Amino acid sequence: MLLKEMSEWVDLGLITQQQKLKIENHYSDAPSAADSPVEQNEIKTEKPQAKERINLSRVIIGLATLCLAIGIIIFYASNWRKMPPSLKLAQIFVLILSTYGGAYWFLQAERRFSLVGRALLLLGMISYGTGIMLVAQIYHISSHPTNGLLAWAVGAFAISLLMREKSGIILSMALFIIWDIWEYSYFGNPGYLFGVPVLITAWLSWKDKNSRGMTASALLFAGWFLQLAFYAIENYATDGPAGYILIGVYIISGAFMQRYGDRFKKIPEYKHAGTIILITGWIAYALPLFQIDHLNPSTSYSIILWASMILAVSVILKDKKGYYIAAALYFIWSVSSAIPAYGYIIPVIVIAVLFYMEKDTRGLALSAASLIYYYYIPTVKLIPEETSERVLEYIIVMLQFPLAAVLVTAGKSIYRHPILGSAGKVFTIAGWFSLLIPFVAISWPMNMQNLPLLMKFGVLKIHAIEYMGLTLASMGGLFILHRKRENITLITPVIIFSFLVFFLPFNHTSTRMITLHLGAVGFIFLLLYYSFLFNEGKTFEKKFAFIFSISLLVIKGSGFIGFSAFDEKFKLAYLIGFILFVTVCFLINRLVNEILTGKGIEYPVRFIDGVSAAGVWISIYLASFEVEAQKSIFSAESIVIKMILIFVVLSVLLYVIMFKKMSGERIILFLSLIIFISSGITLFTAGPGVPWEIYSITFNLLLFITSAVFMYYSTIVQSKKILNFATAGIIIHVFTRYFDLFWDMFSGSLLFIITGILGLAGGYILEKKRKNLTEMIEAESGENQERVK
Amino acid sequence: MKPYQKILFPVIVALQIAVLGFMITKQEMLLARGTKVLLKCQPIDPRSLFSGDYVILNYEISIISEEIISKSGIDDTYKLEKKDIYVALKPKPDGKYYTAAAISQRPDELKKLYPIIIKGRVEYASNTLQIRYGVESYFVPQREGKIIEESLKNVSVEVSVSESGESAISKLFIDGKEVKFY
Repeated sequence: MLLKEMSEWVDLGLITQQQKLKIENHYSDAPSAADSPVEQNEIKTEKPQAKERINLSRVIIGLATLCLAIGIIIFYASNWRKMPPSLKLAQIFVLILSTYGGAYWFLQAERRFSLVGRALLLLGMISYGTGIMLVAQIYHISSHPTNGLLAWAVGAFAISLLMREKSGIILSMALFIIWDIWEYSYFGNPGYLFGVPVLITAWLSWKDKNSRGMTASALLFAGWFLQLAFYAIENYATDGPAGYILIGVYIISGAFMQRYGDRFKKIPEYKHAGTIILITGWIAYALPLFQIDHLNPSTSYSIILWASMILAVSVILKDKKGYYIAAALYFIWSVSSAIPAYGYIIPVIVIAVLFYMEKDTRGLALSAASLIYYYYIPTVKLIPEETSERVLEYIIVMLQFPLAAVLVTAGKSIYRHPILGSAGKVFTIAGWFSLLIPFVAISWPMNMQNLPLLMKFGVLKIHAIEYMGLTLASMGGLFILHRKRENITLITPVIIFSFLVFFLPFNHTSTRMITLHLGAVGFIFLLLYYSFLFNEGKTFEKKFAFIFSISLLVIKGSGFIGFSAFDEKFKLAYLIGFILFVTVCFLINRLVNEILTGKGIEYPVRFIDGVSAAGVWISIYLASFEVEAQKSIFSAESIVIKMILIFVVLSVLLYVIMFKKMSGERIILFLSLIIFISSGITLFTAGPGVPWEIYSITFNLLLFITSAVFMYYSTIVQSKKILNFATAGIIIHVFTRYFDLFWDMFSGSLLFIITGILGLAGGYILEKKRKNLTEMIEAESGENQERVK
Repeated sequence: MKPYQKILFPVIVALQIAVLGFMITKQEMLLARGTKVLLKCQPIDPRSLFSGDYVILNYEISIISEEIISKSGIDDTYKLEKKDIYVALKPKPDGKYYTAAAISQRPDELKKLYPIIIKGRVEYASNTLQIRYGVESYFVPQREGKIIEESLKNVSVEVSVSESGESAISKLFIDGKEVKFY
């Protein structure tokens, strides 16, 4: 902490670089002087802690500034009617002058209250912006609202630039971004001026060697460049000289960006910035395509010619980069072609062979991806014309099952190959993601009655054959893999599930929902358990196990929460339905942890724990508000009740197993049980006759219990993160209830302003203490100097 | 603080104050010197557009009719979308309210025929034109916009219009009575 602060002192001119070094030596001398190894150990363990420790005065002043800023903005936005406009104007002028004046006073080097000064500086900028908004409010100005925003951004930027105030630069850049987007999208202005603050920020970050600043500037620059380019394409591009000149401009600027992006990338601090610029350079190379597309969309044959020429020349010159460009161009042709691009397979194979000859693994990975993409071209086109768009989507989603089976099998069979291994990886990753798609896409109670049955080989004969063919092919692959003594435990269930789905009537909602939900739960368990059981090092399956579980949790959660907002009468039922789903996932995660830990295998139980906790907390939080009279769950469609019963039974089963098995950390299990039981009771008792207060009391209580248990739990496992989340939970909860019951902008603004002033005063006192400390150290270092002499 | 910062800091603050001063002066001049015209408001659909702290006002002159467009000699309205436009105002037969008389993209030509012109921007073009003049928001204290909104068809607004067509709201009337919010 001291080291970091000292660098600040050096910046402020309080101490010189030499003095800083001396103080550092003074402090680092002490431990090295100590001979006892025990003490040295202590110091070692203390070091990382010291890094984490937070500067209290900084946090307090930061929060206070935030409170004050929000307070000031809300105060004037509330348009308090008891105050005449002229007084408000006078007030805002006084506020601007006093905050800036205070900043000016405190930032004088000899006063050493830099933190308070910087806080006041930021408040000055906020007051200035509030002033602009106030004038607009008083005079009812609404013609070109972006002008006020621009005036605010420029003013804040100028003073931040002068004082090198980072937070102010961030504020003004945010304002500039809003201004630019607003101008571009609403008023149709190209935003040439946006480049000025971006370039200045970039220059400043470059000078200060600020890595994050450079990355942000690079991103903004990329956005600005592309905005200008697209503006030019939309407004200036013609099928004549103007268009050709523009193409020249794209390519030249692209070349520059490539060059400088590459250079930046080699400097560690600017690595990310370099990458962004490099990517923008590549996009610049591709801009002519957007232009061609904008002017004349039927030029796909010229793209084939272009790609083939590049490929031919690259083969002659043995320039691998050309293969990639050609591959990209062929891809674009296949997308833009008016007739189905069946022929796309030819360049894909030719280029794959070329990559194989060059032993280019990255290229082969690309070829693998192109091959998977090619699969969809005939699959989509061969669907009979009379089929509806919806059925097309559903059948493609269903085909993901056998596709997943084939891809993971294929991936497994070549992943050890020295050259083809990368392609195998692509197959594996794509395969597992294919498996995820149906579980998130069609596991909802939508009407899929029009979907023809696969096993009848009716309208969608070709696709039924395709489905079965892929499944059988993967079975064959499985047999070969088994003979090769590869581990097939995780692949087998995918193939079995794919085979099973073929014979199930997926147009029947209950069948589909139950199959997919049980399947999802099953795959969550299998993936989590087996990917860790066979300790094969860092496999993709391990990562995918978490991707699969967490995606399902997040997507199901957003779905349920979305439905709960949409369907007020069943709001609680949806939220509790999600709680049930989370409970099952959480219990599976814990069960897997219990079994694996029993076998001495390390398992990162916290991932799904964390997502589950967040999911449950959000559901309870959303249920804790005032709700309309709810309908009884028994009046819902039968599928809902079936699903709920399945999940209740699953949870109860898992609870029984867990309470028998689980040794430590029972408190979390109890918490989940309390939530499970109380939300379960609410689910079944909810109905039109129950007053909303009962739900509200239940869920508010649950919310408090959850936060409290997590606080307690954090002390058991000594996790600061969990403690922070639990505290944040309680704060959000209390604030929400406060605003629910008492919110009114005017008094709210007063609350913020008073809290802010108190905070700033506290921060001032803390800084004063720090100032004394500085003096002490200076005196000490002075003594040191004398001693050295 | 370095010496240049000591000098430039007050300069920038003064400039910020000047920006605010400029905005205020501009509006005050417009209100003091502009020609006053009374415009009638019209209810809009959906009715509840009261959002937060301001009421959205919709005027008779917010929609320019086909008749006026063709009279002004404009045949392709779509070209005007998102462009600035000038609308000439003339008093209605009752002599109290003003209404649109003609439109043009060139203010000088309109000025020759009509004394009062107001500048706007075409929001949406079809057979008719929907125009925003910058006097469509009326800021009110929190939760007090309902009164205006509920009686929007009895609301009229006095707008001050400058020589060059800039406009600003000067007074708001409900049933002919001025409403003030402080």
